[in-house]
Amino acid sequence: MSSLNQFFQAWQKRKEALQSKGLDQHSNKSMESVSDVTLTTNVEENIQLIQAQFGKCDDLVVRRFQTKSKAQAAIVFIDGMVDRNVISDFIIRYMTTPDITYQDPATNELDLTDKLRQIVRNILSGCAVLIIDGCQNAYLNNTRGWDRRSVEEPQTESVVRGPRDGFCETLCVNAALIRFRLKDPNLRVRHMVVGERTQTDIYVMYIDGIAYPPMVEEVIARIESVHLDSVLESGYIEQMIQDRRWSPFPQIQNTERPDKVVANLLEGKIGILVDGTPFGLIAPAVFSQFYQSPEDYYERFYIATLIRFIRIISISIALLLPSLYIAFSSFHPEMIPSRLVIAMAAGRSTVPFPSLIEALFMELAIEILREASVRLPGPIGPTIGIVGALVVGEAAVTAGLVSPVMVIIVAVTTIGSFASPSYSAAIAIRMLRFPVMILAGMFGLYGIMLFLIVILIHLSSLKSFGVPYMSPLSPLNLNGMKDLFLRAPHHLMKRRPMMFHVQDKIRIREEDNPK
Amino acid sequence: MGKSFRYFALLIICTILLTGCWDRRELEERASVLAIAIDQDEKNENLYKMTVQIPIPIKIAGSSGKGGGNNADAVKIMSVTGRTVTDASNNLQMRLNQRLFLGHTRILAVSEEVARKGIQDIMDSFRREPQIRRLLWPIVVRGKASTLLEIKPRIEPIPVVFLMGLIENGMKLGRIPDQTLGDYFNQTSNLTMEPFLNYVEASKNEVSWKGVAVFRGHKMVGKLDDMQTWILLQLRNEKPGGDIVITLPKTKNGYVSFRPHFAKKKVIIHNSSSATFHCELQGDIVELTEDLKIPAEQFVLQMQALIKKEMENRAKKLLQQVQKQYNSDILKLGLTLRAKHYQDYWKTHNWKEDFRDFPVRVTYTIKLRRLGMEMQ
Amino acid sequence: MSRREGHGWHQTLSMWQQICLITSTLIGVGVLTLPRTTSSKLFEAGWIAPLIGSAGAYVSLWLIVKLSRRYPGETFIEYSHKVWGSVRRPWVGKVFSLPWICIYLVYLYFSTAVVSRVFGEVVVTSVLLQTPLEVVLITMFLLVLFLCMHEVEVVARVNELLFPFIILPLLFIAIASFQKAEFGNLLPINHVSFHSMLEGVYEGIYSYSGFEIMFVFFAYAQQNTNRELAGFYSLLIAALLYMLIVVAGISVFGYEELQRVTWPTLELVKTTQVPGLILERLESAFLAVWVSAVFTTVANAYYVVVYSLRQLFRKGIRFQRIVAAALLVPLFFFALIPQNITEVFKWASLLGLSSLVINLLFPVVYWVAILIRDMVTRREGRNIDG
Repeated sequence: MSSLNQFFQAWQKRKEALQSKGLDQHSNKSMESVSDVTLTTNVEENIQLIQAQFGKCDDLVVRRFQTKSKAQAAIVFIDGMVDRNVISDFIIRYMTTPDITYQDPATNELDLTDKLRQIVRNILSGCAVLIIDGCQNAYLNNTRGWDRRSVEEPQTESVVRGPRDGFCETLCVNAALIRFRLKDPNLRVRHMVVGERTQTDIYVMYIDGIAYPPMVEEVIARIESVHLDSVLESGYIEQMIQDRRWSPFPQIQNTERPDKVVANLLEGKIGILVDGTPFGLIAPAVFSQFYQSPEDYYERFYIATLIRFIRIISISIALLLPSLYIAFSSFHPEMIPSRLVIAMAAGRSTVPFPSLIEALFMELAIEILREASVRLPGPIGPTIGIVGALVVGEAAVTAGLVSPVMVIIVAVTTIGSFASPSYSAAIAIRMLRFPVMILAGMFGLYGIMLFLIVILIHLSSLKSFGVPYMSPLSPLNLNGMKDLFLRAPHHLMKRRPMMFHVQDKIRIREEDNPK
Repeated sequence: MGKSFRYFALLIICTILLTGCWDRRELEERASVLAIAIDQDEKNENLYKMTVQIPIPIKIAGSSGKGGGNNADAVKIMSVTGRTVTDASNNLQMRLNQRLFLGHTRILAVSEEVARKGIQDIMDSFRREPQIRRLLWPIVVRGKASTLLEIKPRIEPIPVVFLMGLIENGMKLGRIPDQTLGDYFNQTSNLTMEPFLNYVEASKNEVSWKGVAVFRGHKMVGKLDDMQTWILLQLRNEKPGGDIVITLPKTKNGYVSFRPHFAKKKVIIHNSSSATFHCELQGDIVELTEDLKIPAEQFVLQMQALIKKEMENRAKKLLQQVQKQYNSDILKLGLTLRAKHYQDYWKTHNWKEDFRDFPVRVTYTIKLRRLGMEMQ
Repeated sequence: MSRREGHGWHQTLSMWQQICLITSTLIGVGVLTLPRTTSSKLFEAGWIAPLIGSAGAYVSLWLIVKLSRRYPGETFIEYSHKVWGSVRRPWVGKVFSLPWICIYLVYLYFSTAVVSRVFGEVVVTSVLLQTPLEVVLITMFLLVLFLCMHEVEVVARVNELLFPFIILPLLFIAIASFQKAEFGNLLPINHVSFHSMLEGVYEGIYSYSGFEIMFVFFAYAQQNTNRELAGFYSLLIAALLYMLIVVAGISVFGYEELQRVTWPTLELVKTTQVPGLILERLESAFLAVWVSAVFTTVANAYYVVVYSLRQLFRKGIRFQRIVAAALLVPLFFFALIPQNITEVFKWASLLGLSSLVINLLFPVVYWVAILIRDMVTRREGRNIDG
């Protein structure tokens, strides 16, 4: 844990050094083109000023009207990004009806400014800007309201038991989904804007008093230092702020499930929500993300533990089975029982390629099939998968191009790779399968072991925001082992995992649960 | 940044560039020898004749969906001669399109003739060859060893698989000793004991287990029949052995059959000058051909005494043969002596010679547990 | 933006990591021949040798721990010149410590060569028969090089992760082979003399060396951990495993047969048959898993060499990487010097002898030097007082 501290100290130092060189200042190029002037008191001048910034922009709506005090006024907004009812009922009618005596428009969020740059930014994010003659300040009304996808069941992480709602594309809805589950005043949400042109809103969420403050600062500092012109999905942020950009392993977890984010926030991790995508990020991530699912905590612990072991086995199968087949059949046939080896030799006797080529060819075919069925429209996808697998597989065996055992192996491998609850983790495994196969084709089991050791060294050297990737396995933490391969019953997991350097270490207080 | 990943990539590229696939040899590129038989060449006494059995994968049922069981030979049997085993296998390799692969050799058949001359020279190459498994079964064959490979059992397409099944099944029943090549090596190296191997006889379509061949050093000195072997198994390995069929006294053509289920033995050495094997057999009566018309309790006692007497007689004969005739300690008595009486006996004696005259007694305790499904 | 931390990992090795480091360095290729070497002089009682050998090793390890306690947070390289030098003339220390450091590093360097060669031999003779020895060596060295690219904490974590791959196969084999065991082979135990006992221990001495890497790694142990206990546990684990393997070897084969097989532990794997297991002959699998044990032995020792050089020249990680790559080339040729298997074993036993010298002589000499220094400074102090 002291390593974590020192890590952050080193980071702070470097950050200061960077700032003194002026490299870390947040620049905002697309906004710089907007001249930083203040408004005047004349409505028409102001309208022209704003319109000049947008140029020929036909979805910019300017609605002129007269207020009850007979002053000229205008409301400026972008069509489609605002809730028209709010504008007509609560701004225009409000400002023009003489009975109502209040000065300000009746919207839930109101701001005053005379800075042109801020006005433009707000218009772009769906505000209606109210300009009144004689008043230099413009009213920024939050009238955001565009058609959005409603909260639906997550597509990538479905569970049998557990909440059915998933994130949608709207940041504030996503944040609300988390708030709804975590009614803790200590939940902190930090708003940031990233992407010079997209101006994407980002929420960094953490629980004050649990999350390790330097880690929070680190996350924020890294997001601040992201200089991309666009952030269209959380993947942009993920890839820019992860510790080792060249690693095949995801060092930040992504999820569509608000319950997963909440559970992780409670473990002292930090959630990052990005506007415009249903995928939230969780940092730091450790290796256990490969086989842990929120469902594990909802089912009783026996079954949850069993399912975890099944997932671990299926991940190992996805990584190693084809290469083990290659190693056994072309290097160590003495390891296969004699009766089986004769049958296997019989199956292979017509195959014209070495088993390595056979395996590579089949794996490639399966990957193509998988990719194709993802792209195909909904109802056809599975059909193509079945047709491809059954027909091609059967035909290849009958033609004597592929041995029957190989078909079984490829099928099991593919199924195994989909048992991982994390899609991005499964991709890493699927990718690493190919180099293992090649090494197995060169050295047999020796080659497989060489590659596994290389992966282990790499995994040991990985860190996600100062947390070793293989923790709590290495560095070993017995308390953390309760929730690593096993899923201990809830009443036994009294402490939060230590590896994230949590501030409030106790999850279940003894005095609250008298026996 | 990402430097280690670059090295990681470098490592992979290096291994790819640096290597070929020296040891890669596909399943179908290996001529898997399932069994080897070693005979003496008929014409030249100094030559060995080696016969091997190689399965033909394409002829075996299940290949490419075509049923292959059309009675065609699923195996190829080839014979070569050579001065040594390696010489013979070299000659064999010249006649094969694929490389010989000994990793799946399960049976090593040696003819009785060769075994009696000594098999040390044969065994040496099997010791050195890493492909050879220590768990293969060396078998002494009556007559020609190659006959064992040429049988056509019909139950299994591959004769060796049939033979393996035969031995495995016998092992599980406790009737055939599990004597592997590794055991043979251990027993020949060990100063306290002598090896023995299974002894079979093969005819045209059949093979039958006939007991064990007793060795002294690397030379076969004699054989024990099946009944004696079962006694040996009881005294040596605590295996029950096969059913014991005894003539009932005072009847004509009356037999009683006893099936031992569990065997326990104990070796007691008296004053380092004599030994007693205590053996306890638990079992059932499985057959009684003549009704004795006596109460059940009495019957049990009577039978126990009868079987005990019979077993002790048989054991006595076995010891007589092993000690006096073969002088080969296959009972592991020497091991017990060395382990427990090193100072007072082993140091001063030459076991290889003194075994012959070491007094050994065998006592049996029979525990008749059940009488089968019939009461009486 | 670099995300790699600098020197922020000082003193991070937990007790468990220390145990893993020592044990996995100890257990290496020695186990493959251990039943033969120990029973060559001790016969049936060969299993006593690992116990006595480890007890002897503990004395040395204990002295090493005490050295690192005396100079907390400093490696052998760093405290050597303090031990040999005087406060007034620091160069004296540098000059006098240099031979010790050199001997230490050269020893470790050659031990990596010998260990990888022995492993190459066993792979080439039993599993990859056609593959050239050079290829096995190169792949192993590349793996080692990859580890040497990283910092100390990564080494500790790799050892931690590989630890089960070292312990479990040995336990598995030892336990699985007991179904073939003939316990009479283990008796009698009392017919060996004390002299042959020592000889027997010496034959296997090669298996108890390797903990000398802790001259360096103890510097990074967490200060509140009990290093003596870590050393004790790791030697205990190694000794028990060795003992199990030797007991299994003797009871399955008998000592007479053990003398005839080159790699007794591998033969033990060949003899074991696990009912219900899909795979049959596990020796290839065992050797493959055993790569991790050999890797930890070779890589830890080599890492110490490279890391010590980095400390000696006061350079950074970049220097370490370059040196690691550069030193592998001569290492490769050193590993190829022995011409045949008997020479390999001769080198291995030479290495055992030199490990005896390093492990016993070095800590003792250092402590004697430290005690003399203490006496001198105390006297000087008294002189000044008086």
